[in-house]
Amino acid sequence: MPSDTEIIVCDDVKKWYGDFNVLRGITTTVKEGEVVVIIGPSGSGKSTFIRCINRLETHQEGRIIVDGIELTSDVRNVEAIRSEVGMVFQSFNLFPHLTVKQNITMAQTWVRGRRKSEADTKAMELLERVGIPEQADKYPGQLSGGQQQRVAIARALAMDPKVMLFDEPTSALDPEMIKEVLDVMKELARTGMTMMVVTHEMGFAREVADRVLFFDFGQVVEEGTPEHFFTNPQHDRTKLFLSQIL
Amino acid sequence: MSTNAEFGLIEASPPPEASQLGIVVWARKNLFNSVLNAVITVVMLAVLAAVAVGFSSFLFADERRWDAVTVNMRLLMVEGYPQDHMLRIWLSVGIIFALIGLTTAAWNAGGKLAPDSIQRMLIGAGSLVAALAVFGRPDAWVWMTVAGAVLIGIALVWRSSLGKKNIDKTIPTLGFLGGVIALILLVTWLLPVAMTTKVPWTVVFAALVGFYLVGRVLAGAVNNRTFRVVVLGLWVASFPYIYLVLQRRVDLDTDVMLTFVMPAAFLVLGGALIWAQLTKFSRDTAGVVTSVLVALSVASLIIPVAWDGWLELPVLGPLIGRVLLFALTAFAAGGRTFASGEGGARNVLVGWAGSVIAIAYLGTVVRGATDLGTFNAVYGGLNLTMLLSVTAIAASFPIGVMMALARTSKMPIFRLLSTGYIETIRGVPLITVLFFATRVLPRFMPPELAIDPVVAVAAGMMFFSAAYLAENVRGGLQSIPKGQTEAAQAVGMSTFLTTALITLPQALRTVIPALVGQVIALFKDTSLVTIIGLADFLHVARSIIPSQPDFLGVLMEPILFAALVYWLFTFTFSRASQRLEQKLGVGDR
Repeated sequence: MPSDTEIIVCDDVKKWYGDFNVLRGITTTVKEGEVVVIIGPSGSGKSTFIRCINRLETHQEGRIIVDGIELTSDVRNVEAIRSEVGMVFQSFNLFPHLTVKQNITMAQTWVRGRRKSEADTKAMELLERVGIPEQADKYPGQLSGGQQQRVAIARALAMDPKVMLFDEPTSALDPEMIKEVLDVMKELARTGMTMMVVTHEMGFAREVADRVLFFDFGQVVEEGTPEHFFTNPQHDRTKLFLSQIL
Repeated sequence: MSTNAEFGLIEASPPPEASQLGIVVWARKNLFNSVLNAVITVVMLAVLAAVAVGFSSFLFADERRWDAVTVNMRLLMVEGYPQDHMLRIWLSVGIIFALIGLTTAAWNAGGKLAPDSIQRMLIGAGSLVAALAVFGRPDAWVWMTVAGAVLIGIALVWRSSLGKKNIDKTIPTLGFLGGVIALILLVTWLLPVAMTTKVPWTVVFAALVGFYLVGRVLAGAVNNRTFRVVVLGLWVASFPYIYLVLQRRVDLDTDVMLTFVMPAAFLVLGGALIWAQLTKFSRDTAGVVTSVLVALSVASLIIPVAWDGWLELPVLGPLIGRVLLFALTAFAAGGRTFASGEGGARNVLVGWAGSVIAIAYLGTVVRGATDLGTFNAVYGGLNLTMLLSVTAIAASFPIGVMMALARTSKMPIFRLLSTGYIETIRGVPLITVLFFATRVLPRFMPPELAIDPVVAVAAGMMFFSAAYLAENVRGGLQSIPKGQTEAAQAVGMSTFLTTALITLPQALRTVIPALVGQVIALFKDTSLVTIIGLADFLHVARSIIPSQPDFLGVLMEPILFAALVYWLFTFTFSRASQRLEQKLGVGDR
């Protein structure tokens, strides 16, 4: 259950790509332990928004505060926040020249300064947790999509992040593999991890989310509990969206 | 996981067996399957035979003077290197072979050979020798035929003596190779070969085997990774040592003393300054310190000569001091950008220590006093070719990588400098660069800093090669998807770590074929130095030998020999790089 501590605070976040106004003033807060699911049509700015939270994209106006540190152009703040915020990408982005285990230990040793034995133990624990310890010494190219995405989750978890960001984690997967990744994410949510998830998996949103944000035209059109959102949407745009996908 | 059986589906079956084709069936199917193909095959075989006959009758003609090569072997290898000091050359060769032994052991290289492939090799060699006998001189053809027959005989008898049971047993390739080389050495001891040839080679081979064995023991005893890093370090240090110390001679004098004292002072005091810069100073103070250092560096460039005069220091001391000052400035300015994350400051300090040691090491060996005269007088022949190519290749690698990174950098000043450098160098032929380095540059330099032509040429080739290398590496960097950088940043890696651990290794792996092509080209391009008057390997073969009174006009033989040697080196290199590609799984993952 979410506590009262606010771990992510976004205040009127705005961003432009050239003349195009991608984010038109996003204001929201995420509490510790909360699972926030962001849905919306493509081009609505939901991925851009989640990427602003660990500054893979830079916002131009407004404030984003993560774990008490404001995101500014100061490199040190950015790197401090990035090591506290894990991110899982749509296309996995595993490092192809490293084995699965090295993928998970690399940042532990070089960024966190852990000893190699310690990092190895941690990597094996996490691989156990996502259910593929036997793949530790293979290269990412030898794994299926679902397995790769689970390695990517383990890689992010190895840094002991306070928040996990998921940017459409199942969109590049075959239907049979979506479930294995969602199961890992559900297990993660049960252990009390703070999560922000951009996804098209409505079943996941309904089952796991504490709160759903519906994005369109670079703004939060509607937000609420999954129950409210899926059974009793208020805004016309939300109703239209739901009628098209359900 | 579910199995087929549960659902009553078809089980997997093995693929159909490929039929073993006999040579006659194979030939009929591939070479004589139509009238036209039969005609083409016959014509081609005739052409091949004509070429073979022509070439071997050329090689074995009576008027060929192959003794021009054998008599002049020393000249080809080391040109005018002082005869009293040949031991140094052999020591160099010994060091390299010892390192090859260690490397082979550290990487546990070498596969297995099946008896069948050994038999095939023996029969092939035997047939070749026997076939060449046809063109041999009257006194040689009997021996050649006998030798070929003996080889084939050994192969057949040995193979049939193995019996059915041992036929699948394999022997290590390295053991086989070692045995063959040992056999050849044994034969040289039975024949009237000069002592000055067979003694050193036997010792060198013993060093190779000995160090291989030592390496196997070490590899079992210590952490494999550490061992490999140490071996690589020895390789890196060996070439400067061989060419600048071993083959010359360093006497301990003021110059050398300064190259120890000054770096030590820089190491400690500079290290303290960098550490403060990274952890203690505020942003503003750090900026001020950086500006002062930049000003000092610039000033040291403008007032060097006067300074040298007043203090009556040898040239080298201030020169190394200046280089160290530049390095300190770079670290003080760039350290903050690179030293992010936990342990970042420590990494930068380690980098600083490494740089100081490298500068001191190079400074010591480059200007070490010698009793053997200038480089130009000492180095020649294959020795010079090796010196130039190894130096240029090894030194251009870090420069080229840095240029590639600078050209892809977000900072405009780096991009501009690197682009300017690359485009300038690429727009100019290598010969121009060499002329500039040896003829023009000395006019700008203070006379006491006169650079030896060999050093100037090596530097010129290094800068030339670096520009091309930079473009190859840049191609590799651009092939790395943006997602890789993002993923690295998302786990908190700094720009430096992202480059060093994620993008650069992948980029280099991708461009191995291009880099190998460049290294091979550079190795052969070293023969251009003949134009500015250096006596490299090809120059000895092409000009010096044909002008000797004994071998006046004998050109073909040494040139062919030179071609063979160049080919052996480049072929070995290209095979080694293929192995490396396989090992790194280029194209597979």
